[in-house]
Amino acid sequence: METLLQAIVDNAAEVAIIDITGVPTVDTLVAQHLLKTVSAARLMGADCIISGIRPQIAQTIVHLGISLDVATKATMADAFSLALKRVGLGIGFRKSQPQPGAGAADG
Amino acid sequence: MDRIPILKFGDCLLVTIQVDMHDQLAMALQDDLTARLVKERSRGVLIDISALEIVDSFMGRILNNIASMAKILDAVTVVVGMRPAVAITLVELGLELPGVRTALNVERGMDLIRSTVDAETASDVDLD
Repeated sequence: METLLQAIVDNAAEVAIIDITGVPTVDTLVAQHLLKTVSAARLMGADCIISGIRPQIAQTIVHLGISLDVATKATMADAFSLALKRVGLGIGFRKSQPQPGAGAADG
Repeated sequence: MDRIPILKFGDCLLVTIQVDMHDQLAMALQDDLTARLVKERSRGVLIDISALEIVDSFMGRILNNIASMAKILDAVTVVVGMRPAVAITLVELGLELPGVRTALNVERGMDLIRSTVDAETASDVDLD
């Protein structure tokens, strides 16, 4: 929790994505800690998005009767696109495509 | 008795807490702020607590109270510059300050007040 909050200060972050893909199980303690982190981040002026919630974890959370009052996304990609939208940015195709070969160096 | 200064900044009030708050000072701030809000008819209150190292449950409640009172007086309250340790303390105390809006620093807090007040003003115009 401290690490995330310090990183929010250091990077002047507006949005924090917490990806829990690597978390095997979510019990009440883990969920409570997650919620505390989200609340603390909000107090510091950053929005939190929780991503990477696997179906099993979604079921566990509901069965435990915990209400997650945060934006949750299934995948990191969804969370990232929501984060971009929140800061007013976006990723899209350019209208004029560069000629193949001509703009290769620009990427 | 010393008091926390309240600065008028356009249609906003600016409160920078530079000293450690004790209960009496917090109560005085609450009184002064509500009085100034009515007197100046301000639309926003920005409270900078970046110098505040210790926040107890009383201080948390005062912040919440100020926000609720400001809301009744038609002003938005934004608390800015909360330190990580303070944020953790408040959450552990169960004070998640649901009525208070927050921002990382004064600049962003000011932007937040501006956009909120402008949005409210715009919706007022729509009603006419």
